[in-house]
Amino acid sequence: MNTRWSLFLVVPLAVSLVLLVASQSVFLESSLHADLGFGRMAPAWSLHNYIRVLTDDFYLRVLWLTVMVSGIAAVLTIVVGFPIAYVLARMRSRWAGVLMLGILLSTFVTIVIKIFGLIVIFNADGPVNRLLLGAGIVAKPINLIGTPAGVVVGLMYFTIGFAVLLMYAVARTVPRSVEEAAEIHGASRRRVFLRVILPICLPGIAVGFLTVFNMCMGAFTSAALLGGGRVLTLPVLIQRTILFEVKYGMAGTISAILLFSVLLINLFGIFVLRRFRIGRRVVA
Amino acid sequence: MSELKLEGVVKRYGQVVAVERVDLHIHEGEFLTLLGPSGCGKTTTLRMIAGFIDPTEGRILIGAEDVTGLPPQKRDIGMVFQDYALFPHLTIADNIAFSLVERRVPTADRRKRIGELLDLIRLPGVEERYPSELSGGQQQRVALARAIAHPPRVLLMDEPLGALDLKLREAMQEELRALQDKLQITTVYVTHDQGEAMSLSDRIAVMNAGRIEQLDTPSNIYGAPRTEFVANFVGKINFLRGTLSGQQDGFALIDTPVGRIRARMAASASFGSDSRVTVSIRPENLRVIHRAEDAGDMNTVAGRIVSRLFTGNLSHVRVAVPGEVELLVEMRPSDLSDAAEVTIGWRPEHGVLITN
Ligand SMILES: Nc1ncnc2c1ncn2[C@@H]1O[C@H](COP(=O)(O)OP(=O)(O)O)[C@@H](O)[C@H]1O
Ligand SMILES: [Mg+2]
Repeated sequence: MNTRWSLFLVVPLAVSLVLLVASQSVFLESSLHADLGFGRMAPAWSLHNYIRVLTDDFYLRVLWLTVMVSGIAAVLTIVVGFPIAYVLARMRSRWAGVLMLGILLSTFVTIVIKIFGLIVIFNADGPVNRLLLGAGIVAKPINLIGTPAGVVVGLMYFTIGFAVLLMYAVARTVPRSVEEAAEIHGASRRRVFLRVILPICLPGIAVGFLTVFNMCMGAFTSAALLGGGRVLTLPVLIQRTILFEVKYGMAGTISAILLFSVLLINLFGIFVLRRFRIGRRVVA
Repeated sequence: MSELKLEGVVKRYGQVVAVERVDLHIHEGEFLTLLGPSGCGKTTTLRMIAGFIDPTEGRILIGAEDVTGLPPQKRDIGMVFQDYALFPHLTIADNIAFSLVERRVPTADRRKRIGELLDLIRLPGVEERYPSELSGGQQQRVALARAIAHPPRVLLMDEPLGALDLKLREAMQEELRALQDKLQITTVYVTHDQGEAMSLSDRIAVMNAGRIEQLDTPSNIYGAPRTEFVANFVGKINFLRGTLSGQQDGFALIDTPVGRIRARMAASASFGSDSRVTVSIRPENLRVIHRAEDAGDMNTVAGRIVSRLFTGNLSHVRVAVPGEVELLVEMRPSDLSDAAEVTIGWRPEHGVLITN
């Protein structure tokens, strides 16, 4: 059981490898050349860029922010997405299909359009702020755009559809009868969730979390648009380094750092899943 | 352990009537089986007792307590599911102790109880294993142990042996019966297998289209079926249709295409004279009469053999008799000669009267 679930981790890992390694192998090579300015690079290989990135506070803060923002977004997405997926998985009416279709379709609407929708909604005089101001909950409009919180919201918006689809498949693996067995043998709804549904789904949830986390780490559009140029994450920084500073070597190095961070975190995830047999033992 | 009562229980889904009306009184310690074909409402009835489904009408009482609106958690019921429904992430010990943990039974008592139950189901030493490491039959026994760990007021089982192969099923039937004799838990058992119902139950409720057709002991369900449906569902049966023309020596006289025959009056049934009736006769109660003097006071009819089927220890022989009726006769192969024309006879008390 445990082993089988761990194998599923190969999926997010493979996705990350293809998306990151294949498209950036060129950058990986260039990361070993120091920049000479105006897009030119030193012919010899060196670790110059790496030393720079790993010793400069600025780059480390961007890395940390990216991991934090992605981690928080992934946790929140799963926390919001799992109950939705669970309810959908348990729905017996025709609406389940319609709702699934809605989620599926909205998942494939380009993120640019969705983000502009978000910007309109969270604008200083958008509906959310007018509601909050009108109800007297806030004194002045809250501004999400250009803040890390805004980026988190954008990343959640970007990944929630995928998360629900992933979690739906996970929730479907819990047979209804297993839940009923817990209920009839005395567990309250809350206890059924904590002692049965959650532990059975936990490996799947972990896989879903890592997948969403990986998507967030590499997400450029949500971070760029909702960060409004003020929130720097690694993907945004890479774009700037290429476009504004024309430092291909440095851009390659930052890409490599992004890639290795994601790989490390995924490997750590696999380790944790393998190390701890999920499920609570009551009787030793 | 308690008695269980269903009073006028009805379940409708929009236009679909799943359970039309069920009245049942299951005694304390009794093993009662709901028997019937697929779709007759057995599972729906059982799930209403469990509390997974609310009845549209009627009441359900456990002991003196009306549990109709109560959620499953509060009913103090044990249940064995067809797919076992063991918790895959918990060890066998934790599976069995599930209801004990939920009811905050102290650890020491819990351990003791787990040991007792594993001995009872004859699976000692599997405490630390996981359900996926056990065979189907073993999982089913663990499911049973889980259901009775905290002695339930009522035990429910929905086709618990349905997923097992024939040999294992028969072995498990014997075990279940032995356990029931030992534990005396009030049990409602659901199956569509008449043999299983016969061998396990104190009483059987034969269900058809959302209603109980007959509630009786296994021997009466088999030997004195009250409706054609019950007679047909439980074992093989012959029907002779005719009109009731009177009574003689405590037997009913019926005019049928095969002549006037005598049959047992069902105690509970009442028939106006001249009403149309059906006589049911089990194949094993029919025999070939070789010499006229052997007939005695049996009902007899002459017929022609149309087919013979050898089944091992017995032969199933189809005999065409007047009125375009074929009678199925079960007999020892040695009782059968090569002759095509035979006389069939049966004792009057083996013909059971059924209302049309
Ligand atoms: N949720 C439901 N919605 C509509 N019809 C149902 C539902 N559950 C059961 N039924 C119908 O009620 C009848 C009885 O079902 P069930 O109790 O499962 O029968 P059994 O267990 O005897 O095979 C069937 O005709 C079935 O189609
Ligand atoms: Mg059923």
